[in-house]
Amino acid sequence: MSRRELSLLVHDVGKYVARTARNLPPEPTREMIDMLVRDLYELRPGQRASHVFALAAAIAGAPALDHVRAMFEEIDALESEVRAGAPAAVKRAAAIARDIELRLRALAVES
Amino acid sequence: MSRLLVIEDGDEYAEFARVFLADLEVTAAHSAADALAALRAHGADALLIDLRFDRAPASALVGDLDATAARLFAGDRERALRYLQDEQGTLILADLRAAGFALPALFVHDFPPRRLANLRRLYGDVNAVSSLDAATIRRALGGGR
Repeated sequence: MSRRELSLLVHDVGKYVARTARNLPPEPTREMIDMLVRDLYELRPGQRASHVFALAAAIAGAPALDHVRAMFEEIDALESEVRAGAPAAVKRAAAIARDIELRLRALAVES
Repeated sequence: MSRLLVIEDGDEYAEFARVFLADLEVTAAHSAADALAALRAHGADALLIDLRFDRAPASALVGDLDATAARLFAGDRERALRYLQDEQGTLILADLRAAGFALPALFVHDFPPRRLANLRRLYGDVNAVSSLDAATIRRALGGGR
C-alpha cells in the first residue's frame, strides 16, 4: 500500500468516521447523534462509512485491514439502535469509530 | 481567538466546529476565492483548513492543471489533478499569504515533522493536529505554535 493510499484511507475514512465520536459528551444531544449517524451511515452521499472504507481498502489492497472491516460490520449492525439514539448503542458505535481512526492512523505511521 | 474561518471542499469541518467549538464564530469557505472574499469582508482570527479537496471541481482549484502537468508530471494531467487535489489546502494557504493574510492556520492532518517545518518556513504560523478533536483543536488555535 502506498503512502498516498494510506493517507486517503486515513483522510477519507478515519478522520471523518471519528469526527463526532471523538467529541461526544456523556449525554449527547440529538444534534450530535444525528451527526454521528451521518459519520457512520451517510459518510458520502448514498454511502455508509463501511462502504467508503471497503472501496478505499480495495484500492489499497491491504490484508491487514480485515480487522477494521470487522469493526465496521459491528457498527453497521448497530445502525437502527444508533439512529434511535439508544445510549448503549451510541456509546459502543462511537467507541468503535474512535478505535478505527486510531488503527488507520497507526497503519499510516507504520508504512 | 473568536472568529474561525473554515476552508474545505465539503461541510464536515464547519459542522463539527459549529457543534463542538460552539463559542467560536464560524464562517465557511469552499475555495481560495471564497476564503479571500470572506477574509476581506469579515476578517477572522484563525483558519481551519482541510488539506485534500477531492470533491471540488477542477475549475475551483488553486493551481493551473496544464502547467502543473507540464512542470511536475511530464504532461500527465490525471496525476497533476490528483496533486492539486491532495495539496489544495496548502495551495490555498499560499494564496492567502500572498494576499497579505498572516493569521494562524491549522490543518487536521498527520504531517511528518519535516513537512510541517517546511510549511512553517514557507507560510509562517501553521500548526497541525491529527484528528477532529475539539479540545486538541482549541488548544492548537489558542496556543499558537
